[in-house]
Amino acid sequence: MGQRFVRAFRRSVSGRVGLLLVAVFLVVAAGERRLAPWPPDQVSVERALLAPGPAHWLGTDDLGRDLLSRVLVGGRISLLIGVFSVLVAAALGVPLGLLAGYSGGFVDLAISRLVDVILAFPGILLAIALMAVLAPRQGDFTLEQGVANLTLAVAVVNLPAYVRQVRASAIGLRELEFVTASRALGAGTFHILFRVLLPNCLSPILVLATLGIGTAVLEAAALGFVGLGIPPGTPEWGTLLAENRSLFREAWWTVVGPGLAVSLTVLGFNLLGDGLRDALDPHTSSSSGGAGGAGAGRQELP
Amino acid sequence: MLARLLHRLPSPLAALLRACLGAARSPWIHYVVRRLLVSLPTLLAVAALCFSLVHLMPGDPARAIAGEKAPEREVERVRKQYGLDRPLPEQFVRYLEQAVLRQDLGRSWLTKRPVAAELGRTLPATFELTLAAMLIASLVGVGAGSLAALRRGGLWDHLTMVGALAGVSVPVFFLGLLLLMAFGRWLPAGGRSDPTDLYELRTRLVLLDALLAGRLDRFLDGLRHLALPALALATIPMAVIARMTRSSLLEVLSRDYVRTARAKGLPERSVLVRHALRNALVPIVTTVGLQFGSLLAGAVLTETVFGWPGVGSYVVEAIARRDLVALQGGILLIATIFVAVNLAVDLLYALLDPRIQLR
Repeated sequence: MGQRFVRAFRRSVSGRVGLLLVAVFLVVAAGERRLAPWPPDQVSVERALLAPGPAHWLGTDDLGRDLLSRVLVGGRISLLIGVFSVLVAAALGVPLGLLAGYSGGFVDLAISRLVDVILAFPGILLAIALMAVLAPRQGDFTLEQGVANLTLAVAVVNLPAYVRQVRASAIGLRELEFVTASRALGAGTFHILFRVLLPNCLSPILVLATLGIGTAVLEAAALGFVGLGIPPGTPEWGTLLAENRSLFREAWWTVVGPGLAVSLTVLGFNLLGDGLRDALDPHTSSSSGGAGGAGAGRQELP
Repeated sequence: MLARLLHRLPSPLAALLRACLGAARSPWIHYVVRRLLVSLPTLLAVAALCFSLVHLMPGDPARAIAGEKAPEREVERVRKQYGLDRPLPEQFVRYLEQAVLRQDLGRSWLTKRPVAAELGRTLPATFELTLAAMLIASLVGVGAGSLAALRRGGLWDHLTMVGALAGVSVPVFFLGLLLLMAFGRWLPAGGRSDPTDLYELRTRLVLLDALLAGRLDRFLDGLRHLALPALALATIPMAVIARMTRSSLLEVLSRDYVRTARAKGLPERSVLVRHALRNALVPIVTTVGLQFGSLLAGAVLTETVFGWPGVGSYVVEAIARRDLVALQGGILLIATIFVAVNLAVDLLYALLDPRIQLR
């Protein structure tokens, strides 16, 4: 399985490009302070609105702050929110999905209704509502608080995907012989859920989580863009775009840097997720078209 | 009992009743009724969530309405006037009653104007934008996806798929700014064409009203305002629709009946349009319908970038001013529309695809 997966993943162009992009952004997020050429908050009137050049690769904003440094520092915040919100969503969604799929009956009904209610809101709108509840009504709030709130809001919005996916996998698995066998051996519900069922539905969760980080980065940036969550002046990507929005006519680089950073990060995670899906599940592969698999009876006509 | 009652009724009436009963027994009607009943608790929960927006917040809503520096007496008066001194369940029932029976969503804390009226004013703008985006997304998405499927593995296929991937990766608010940079010189940078002074508004959709009034100049002006926001909003659904069309058509093209159609010697055009595309359409139509949600969500951001005076701008402004009643109303409206559209798509899907089990 492991070797086949690695071989399949290496064949996938999107997987390799995605991995490269993701790796670059993760390294940058890890060492952002050391990589940033200027202090991200250093204001300088004489360097205001400089176009990209050797001293400032992405130019400067209207306060003379170096945009590359701000984008680098902002990347840490955005990726932090992306990764942690996926972890929170999976930590809540996977047990709920396992429980719903395995138990059925009332438990399933209750969990599924909860998911329906979350899905009744267009994603970003629910996040906006949650942020409005979580954010203090007035006064200052810290960056840590803002990041925690954003993480939670984005996690709740993406919770249904995990519950639904894992529930579907669990329903497919629960009548299989090895599950019946461990029940007959006297295994408890907890053991069956997490030791028997969970290892067998890990691959779709992995794909979902990878794609989910991209979505989460996008949603967090959107919330920052409408002015929710992150204290003004913080170099978070969405907030950067919102701050420099009015400048784009005279200084295009003030929005292109942060915008490209968001887009490339999301693209990286999307590509990596696609590559993982192709490698983990050859049947739904977008590039191989079902050829070579056990059910390759359906050949495409020339 | 029922049979005897039917027997006694005058015959045309009995026939009508019998027909209705017959229809009610048909699986589709059953499905519709069941789905409607299932949607009700969802809508109730949505309303509860919106209601709790104001009440779960830290702080005192009465003080927020009266103003920070208002004397305690004034705050108490406001609390009584808005019924904020009543128990929460009672307040929720009253909120529902007012929202459903009188379309009253309360008054904005800031402008003191009724929220429902404000939303009624902004909704046509959002509707027009969403509709235009939907049109662009479906036409381009289905077209590009079909071409990609037909030229599988070719340059066009790769271009479409890369474009689709980029489409779902670029944030809509960044794309909006990019479009403004590229076309801002020729097209208006924001706002919506305002025809109120020029002719009578019938549908409140600028393009349609202009056409109905026979004002081609205003129609073109409306179009110029609409073009960029609609294009920005259309990208994500366009990408999703293109991918779905491609995979759906590829699957259908490998089916036996397409092989049969070709073997019969039908012209390729007819094979594609009458046999392949028609069968591939069911999942595509569903995808198109379900994209409506992402459009509504995207509209919040797109409207902000382009200063489009719709519900999304209203919601974002409400956030900025911490006007929770306005925010609550906006979110309730969008979520209700979203639930209704998804329900309609589900029902349509069941009607379109006879294979679906109406359980």
